[in-house]
Amino acid sequence: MEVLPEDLVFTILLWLPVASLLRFKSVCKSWFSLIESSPFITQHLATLKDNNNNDDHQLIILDPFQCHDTPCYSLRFSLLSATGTNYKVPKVLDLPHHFDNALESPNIIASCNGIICLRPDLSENVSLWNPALKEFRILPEPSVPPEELVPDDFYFGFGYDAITNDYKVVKVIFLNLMTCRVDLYSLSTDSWRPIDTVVPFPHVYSDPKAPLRNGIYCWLGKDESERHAILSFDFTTEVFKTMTVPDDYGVGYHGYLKLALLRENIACIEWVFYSNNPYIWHCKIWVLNEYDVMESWTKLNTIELELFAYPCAVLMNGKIIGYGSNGGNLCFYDLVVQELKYFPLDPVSFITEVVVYNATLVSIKSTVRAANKLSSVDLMENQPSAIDLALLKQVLDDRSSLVMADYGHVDLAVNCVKNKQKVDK
Amino acid sequence: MKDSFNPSIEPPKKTVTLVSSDGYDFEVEEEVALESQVIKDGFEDKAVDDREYLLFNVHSDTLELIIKYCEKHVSSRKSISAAAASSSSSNGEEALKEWDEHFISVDTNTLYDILMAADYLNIKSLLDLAIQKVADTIHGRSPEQIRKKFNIENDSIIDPWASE
Repeated sequence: MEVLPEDLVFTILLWLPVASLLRFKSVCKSWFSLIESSPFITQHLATLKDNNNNDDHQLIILDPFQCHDTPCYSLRFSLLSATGTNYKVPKVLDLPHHFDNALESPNIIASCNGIICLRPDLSENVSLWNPALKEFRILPEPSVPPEELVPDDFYFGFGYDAITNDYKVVKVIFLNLMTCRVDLYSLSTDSWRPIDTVVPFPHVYSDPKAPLRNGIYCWLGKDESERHAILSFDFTTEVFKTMTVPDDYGVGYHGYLKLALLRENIACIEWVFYSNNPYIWHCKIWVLNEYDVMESWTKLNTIELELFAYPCAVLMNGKIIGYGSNGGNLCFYDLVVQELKYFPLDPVSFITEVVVYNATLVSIKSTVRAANKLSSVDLMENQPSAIDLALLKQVLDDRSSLVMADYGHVDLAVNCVKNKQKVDK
Repeated sequence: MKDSFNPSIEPPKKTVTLVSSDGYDFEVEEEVALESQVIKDGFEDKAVDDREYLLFNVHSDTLELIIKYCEKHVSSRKSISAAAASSSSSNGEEALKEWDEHFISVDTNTLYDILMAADYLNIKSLLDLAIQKVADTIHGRSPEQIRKKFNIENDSIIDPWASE
């Protein structure tokens, strides 16, 4: 049997799905360190994007429901894989233990490069989650002066800064209509810092749950003169910008508007139904073909959709998601194929959220290397041999980093150390 | 799909000679050879009558396949753009994809030879095709199967569970 040169083998690894790579970490030491290395992770992400023909994609569906006899929520995150409009039977994702017996259901803030940014409903603690790596991280709270503890409104955005290779969360807090404060979290420093800026939108009501081209977050809101408008935040320049929406939606317009991303462009979608048939939704789509160029707003065809209620998401690949006219079953309309189809899912609750997802190797524990290494013990399917004792001791001494490993790795690590010591004797 | 060339209206083809590692000469049309980025890069510097390339790393068996691939792609591109120009419907790209899939369905050794040759000659589309094929065949394997396949020694630290 012939043997391929190492550089070609590494190129082949770039083309493999995340699940295979996690398994192949235990092939040998050089593969382990390669798959964990930051250049490989970045290149793997780029290869995924290059090779994606937009037909293959995955969705994460969050379906929370309150249990009958307890105040707790049961959360279900389903992973749906598809080619085109054919969805496979969903896979239920393992949840971080943080959400066992949750008294509140989290919202998905956004999905970007395989990381889901979550926010519990009542508290303000944001968390990041990479379901493929089973990594979960609760972000620290921004240090807020006591007089600012009861904000009037606040909203979040999540995205990627390609220049510094960093993931950031932006939080806009309004104490009242006039006073606002903006905090920015960066994963590389694991801390929040205030940004000195004025945001003109005290309230926003729609956002696409994904950053535009990974690096710009957009919200739809109303400006001072009560006009619908788009607010955007660039994670690289850390600057806010406002953009107008098509003239149709001027002052005094009262329809339902939703902000979405279609392919790599901002889209503004209007939903209307008429009282003679409340289940037929007329959907008018405008696309901003060039970012920040208002002349490039282009109107697409109006579509009619038979849905039970207001659509719950519009995905980047041109799928509109809503509850079918037969009740709680989730369905989608593909703008290209122009066909309404149902997901292979049981009925879901009416606070379901759907985001586009791609499994990636992007670690959210990169600032805490020890915890990062530890989590890989779990992923190597009970083959902890590649983890050396010194590293484990170091990790076990560092309890604070273990707090972040929220997947029960502690027991596994302790067991591993015990066994190792047995062998040493 | 039919390769639609009409030699009578084409100017005479310029050719180059590719020499395989085991010493066989292959005379191919210039545009076919230029599918290789490596040949293309050095092409202009070479005298017109000295367009011979010694491919030390490519065996004649593999070279034959590589040439077949490049010829197919050159001719398909022509018929696809001809179809587009006359705005007649064409499933050329679809058909080419099918042809590629059939072309790359070979045994492992041949696949590796194609992969290494495509890498050496820098033929991007063929390299991608071969890599995707290898990736497809290994993504479900176990680490042990991978070690065997790529002849990798298991240098992981002694497994504590195994020695109990």
